[in-house]
Amino acid sequence: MSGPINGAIAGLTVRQSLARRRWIVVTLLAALPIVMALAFRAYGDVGDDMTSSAVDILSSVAFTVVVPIVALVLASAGFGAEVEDGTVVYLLAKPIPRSTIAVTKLVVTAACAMALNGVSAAIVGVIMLRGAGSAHLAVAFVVGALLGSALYAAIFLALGLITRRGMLVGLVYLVVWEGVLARLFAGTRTFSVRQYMLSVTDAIAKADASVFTAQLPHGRAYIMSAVVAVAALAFCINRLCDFEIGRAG
Amino acid sequence: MTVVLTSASKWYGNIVAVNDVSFTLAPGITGLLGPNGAGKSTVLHMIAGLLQPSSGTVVINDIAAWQHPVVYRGVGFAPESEAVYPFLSGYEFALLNARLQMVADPAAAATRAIAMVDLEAAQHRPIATYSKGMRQRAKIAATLVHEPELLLLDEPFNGMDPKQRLEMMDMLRALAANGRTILVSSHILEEVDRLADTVLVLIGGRLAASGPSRVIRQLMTDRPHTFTVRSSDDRRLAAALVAQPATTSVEIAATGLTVRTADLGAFTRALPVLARDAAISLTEVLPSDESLESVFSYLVQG
Repeated sequence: MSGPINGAIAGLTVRQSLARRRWIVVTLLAALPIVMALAFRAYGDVGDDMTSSAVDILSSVAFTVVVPIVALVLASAGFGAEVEDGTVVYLLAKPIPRSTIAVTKLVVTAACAMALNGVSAAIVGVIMLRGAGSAHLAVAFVVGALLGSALYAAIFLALGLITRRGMLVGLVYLVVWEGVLARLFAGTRTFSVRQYMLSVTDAIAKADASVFTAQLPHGRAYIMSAVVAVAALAFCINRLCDFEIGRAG
Repeated sequence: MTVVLTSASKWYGNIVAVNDVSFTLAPGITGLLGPNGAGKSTVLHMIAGLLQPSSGTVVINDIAAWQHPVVYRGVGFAPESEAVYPFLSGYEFALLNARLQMVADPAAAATRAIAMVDLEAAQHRPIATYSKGMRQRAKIAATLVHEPELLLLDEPFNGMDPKQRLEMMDMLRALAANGRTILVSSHILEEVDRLADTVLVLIGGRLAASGPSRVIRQLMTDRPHTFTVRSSDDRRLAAALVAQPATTSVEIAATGLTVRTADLGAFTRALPVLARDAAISLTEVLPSDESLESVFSYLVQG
């Protein structure tokens, strides 16, 4: 029973992630690119380039807004809300290694985000790229969405152990760092999850440069993804081992 | 199960929450008594391994409580905070705790714990719909699922009605009779006095007194008490009171008498008899320093 994943914590984490109408928020968010794809199919002109439009929707809407915010909403239920309301005591005062608690939370939150974002990207791919001979492009975007979901979930879970305002800090990070700085300054792209997603997608798709080219070298995206994932996990475990609750005031 | 605190202190920056507290818990019920902000919760959290002592040690069965989750196998901790997962039912909450405690048969353990706190009727309703008293019982059920040797309950009677309070006290007494070690915090003297065999009095983060509850009770009652008394004839009543051995002093003012006594029991028994015999009607008898804080400050100064 004391493996790296605890079944009871996993079940609880799923219910927490989807409680308080969070499931409505994340489902609507994940549906957004699908609705856009359907609208484009229904109302787009015959001459429109489906492939480049699909790339636009997936790279701009899905990767920029939907993937990170779905992960943020799910992860904010993880440690952030539990620490805030004090229920985290029911997990910590148990004969379970803190590392198991951290790994379980992270894996389950990442899996929920990956499921939603992966399915969303796949449906957009099917709607827009069906018959366009670009199946590999759709697969590449699904992989990119899965990677981004996992990394954002890990980062935002760790954030919940640093600040009680994880949701706010997460949004500011997304808008200011990923949204503005990483677009303007090449140097900051090495530290942008969105750029990792785009780079990995590009590496898998090997698409025509005129359709889609990532700005971050592929190798660096792979390495940085691994670094971010390991660092976030190590941080969560470490922080949870030293985590104090019951501080007066 | 033995719990030993040795010069345990906890501070945050310049604020000292618990200061050099040492005691040993033995099987039976121990009451942790103190006003709000005295450091009771901090002591309980240190014993529960959820706060690291700034200095000193907190040891459960020879294992440091901090950073040793293995001790939780024998520990049940119910925090004061009412927060529980609102989307779970009482039964699901108990079941979750049983699974997290890795008991052999979680479902049976949850059912048994729910029965112990008399929550069967509401066990399948979401906790969000529970009253305060029901939440308290759900929390306590969750601490009982693995039949812990050490039970740490932070203000467990908050929000319970008098009947639930008595039932909970009976249940805790039964557990103590089975050899369990139980530490219950409260800011209400009566609760602790009725329940605990031993009482620890915590004031301003320091252990102000400790001992059998009878002794602590005496410490708190055998001390000067002050009453404000108003009657139909204050002057005659004053003369009669002065003649009483239990009376230390009487002051007459326009607003009534201020009477000091060194023997609370004798005074409270004598006053009505004396008034009746002298045909004086009492209109007001008001203890002027009965707030718990004054009781405690007396203990500290004494």
